[in-house]
Amino acid sequence: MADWDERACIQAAKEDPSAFAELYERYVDRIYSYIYHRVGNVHDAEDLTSRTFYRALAHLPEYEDKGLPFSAWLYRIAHNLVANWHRDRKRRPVVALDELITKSLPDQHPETLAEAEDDTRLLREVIRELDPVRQELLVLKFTEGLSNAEIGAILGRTEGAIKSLYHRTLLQLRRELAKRGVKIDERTVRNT
Amino acid sequence: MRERFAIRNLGQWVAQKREELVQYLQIKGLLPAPTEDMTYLEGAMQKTLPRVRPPLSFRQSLRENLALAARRQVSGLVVEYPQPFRGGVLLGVSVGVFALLFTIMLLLLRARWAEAER
Repeated sequence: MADWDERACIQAAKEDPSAFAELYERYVDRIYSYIYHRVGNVHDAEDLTSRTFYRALAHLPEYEDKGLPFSAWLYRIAHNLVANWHRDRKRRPVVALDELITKSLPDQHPETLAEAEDDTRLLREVIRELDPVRQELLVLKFTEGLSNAEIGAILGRTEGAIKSLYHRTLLQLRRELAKRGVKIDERTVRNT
Repeated sequence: MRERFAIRNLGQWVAQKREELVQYLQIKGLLPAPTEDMTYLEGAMQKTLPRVRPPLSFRQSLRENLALAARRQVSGLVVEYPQPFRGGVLLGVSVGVFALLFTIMLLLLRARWAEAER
């Protein structure tokens, strides 16, 4: 959908809340995916996704276009709800990556596949050990494909700060993987 | 509790400012710009963090509930998702009121008993 269409949709939903359905259809998968990676289970992901959209519907009249996509506003709502969720439970965020199905190509040798699976598992473990902000940054970057500016708007940081944090997160990941004897190379990427 | 939040916020603020300073110094050429090739690691991350889809039943059910909430909003009624802490607050207030009444009764009875003993 083009930017103009999104603006038109938002305006229509402001005037008639029943038009909010179109915005919901467009963003529900992305918001759910983001929340799922942040909370690590389906039940809470569904609950927080519902809250995000109820809150968005209720506060839509206050929404102002600040040059960022509408999704950034939704992610911001979801981010706040997830932060509250973690604070309420006083527990470390868990990325339930083990539950995810890793697709593999049929012509791969079993040994190569097993090695790649091991590397991927270790990568997941290392991500889980990162602090919550870095985990969130990775989810927004890789799962949601957002730009540094959009991530900055969601996390309340500047674009430059996100760029720098992202680079240092990758360095940290690589260091941690090296400590465990994993070297991420072309083979890992091809086989995961 | 509040102090802990303040310390955590201060820690985050310091970390953010540090990042901004590093970024600024990199832009000004006072610190080496990040040059390492992370392409493979980024590729592996892309495969490790796939997008997941919500169950269809949930998607459908939420769409219907939102449509209902939207209709109510048109009629001037704003529907918010029920907050779990509201139940907790109500329960807490009820228990507090009950405890207060119980204590007052106990004090009154105790005073009467003390008077009767005298």
